[in-house]
Amino acid sequence: MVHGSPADDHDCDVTSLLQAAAAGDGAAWVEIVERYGRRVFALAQSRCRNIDVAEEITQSVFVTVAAKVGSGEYTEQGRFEQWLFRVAMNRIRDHIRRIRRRLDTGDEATLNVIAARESDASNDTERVREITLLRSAMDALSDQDREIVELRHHGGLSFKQISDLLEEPLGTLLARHHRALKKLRETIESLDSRPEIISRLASGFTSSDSADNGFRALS
Amino acid sequence: MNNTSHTNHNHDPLLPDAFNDPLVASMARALDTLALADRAAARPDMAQRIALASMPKVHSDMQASAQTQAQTQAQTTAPAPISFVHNSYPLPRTPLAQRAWFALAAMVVLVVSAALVSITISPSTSTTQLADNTPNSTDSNPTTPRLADSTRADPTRARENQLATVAASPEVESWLSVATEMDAMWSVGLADISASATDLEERAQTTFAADQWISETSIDNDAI
Repeated sequence: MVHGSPADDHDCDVTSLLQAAAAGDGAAWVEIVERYGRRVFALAQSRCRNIDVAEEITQSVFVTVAAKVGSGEYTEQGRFEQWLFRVAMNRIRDHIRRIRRRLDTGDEATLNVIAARESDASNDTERVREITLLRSAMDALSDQDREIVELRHHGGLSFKQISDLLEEPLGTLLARHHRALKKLRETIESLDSRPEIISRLASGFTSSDSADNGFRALS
Repeated sequence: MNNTSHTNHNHDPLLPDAFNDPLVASMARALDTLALADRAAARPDMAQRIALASMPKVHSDMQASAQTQAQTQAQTTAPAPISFVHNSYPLPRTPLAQRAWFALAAMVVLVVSAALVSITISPSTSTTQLADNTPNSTDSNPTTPRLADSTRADPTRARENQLATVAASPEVESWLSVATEMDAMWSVGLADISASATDLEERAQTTFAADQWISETSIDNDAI
C-alpha cells in the first residue's frame, strides 16, 4: 500500500512537522513537501496533463501553505491534508477555468494541439493506448464526480477527508464515487469493445519504470 | 488484491458492502494505476526544488524586535529635522556631503582671513611690543634703537618699516620679481602699440592725400 488513510500517529507526526517548519526548521518543511508533493502533483497532472503546469500548480500550492503556516494563520487541528488538497483543488479549478475560457474563445491552435496529441497517443504502445482510454473516460465525467475520483485515487485521501474537504455528507460522497466508477467502466467499454479491457486496465503496470515511461509518452 | 492499489478499496472501513462490487473495484484499481503513473511522472528533484522555493518565512518575536531595533537605530542616525519655532515650514534639507563641503569652505575662508589679518597686524604688533619695553631694558642695551618712539613720531618711517618687513619675506620677493617682469612686458607692449598707432596715422595721411589728388583730378576732368 503506497499511501493509506492517515492514522493518529501520522497526524501527530504532521503536527510536529508543521510546528517545526513554522519555527524555521527547513528539514521539516522538506519532509512535508516530500510527503505530499507527489500526491498534489498527481492531482494536478491528472487534470492538466502537462508536467510543467502540474509542477507549477504544486509549487503554488506549497508557497501558499508555507505562507499561511509561517505567518501563523493556519493552526493545525488534524486536518492538514484536507486543507492542503482544498488549496490544490482551488488552484486546479482556476487553471481549468482559464483553459476553458481560452478554448471557449475559439483558440483553434490549442484545439489542434490537443487533437494531435490524442492522435499521437493512439499510435503509441498498447499500454499507453489503454491509459489514453482511461483518461478519455475521465474526461467524460462531470467536474464534481471527477474531483471525487481524483481526490480519492490521485490525492490518496480517505472518503472521510474528502467529505470534510468538499463539505458533503459521507453517504452522498460514496454514492457519487460508486456512480462515477460505473460510468467510467461504461464509457471505456463503449470506446473499446474488447471484453478484457477492464481487467487489463486493472492489472496495472508491471513496474514503476514502465508507468513512468507510459506517462511521459503522453505528456 | 492487486499490489499496485494504494487505496485498499476492499478493506476501507468507510465503504459499505454494496461498494465492493468486483467490477467497480477493478475500475478503482485501474484508477490507482493511473494515479501511480501520474505520481511517477514528477521529476525526481521536484520536492527538493519546491521545498526550497516555498520555505516558510519565520515571523517570530525576535524578528519583530530586530526590526524595531533597526528602525530605532535608523531614526537615531538620521539628522534631526530643521524647524523654526515661528515657522511651520521646515528648511529644505541639504545633503550631508554638501553640508560638509560648506563647513570645509567656511573653515578655509576663516583660516585665510586670519592669516591675512595676522600678516597685516604683525608689524604694528611688533612695534607695540617694542614700545612696551621698559626704559630699563632699553637702558640695559644702549644699542637697541627706540623704534616705538620713532614710529609714533614719524608715520612715514613706520610705513617704511612695515614695507621693509614685508619685503624681507621670500614670497614677497618672488611676487615683486613677477610684477617687475609684467611691468617690463607692459612697457614693451605699450611701445609696440604706440608704434603701430604712429604707422597707421602716417598711412592714413598718405591715403587722404591720394584721395584728395584723385578727387581734384576728377573735378578737373569734369570741368573739361
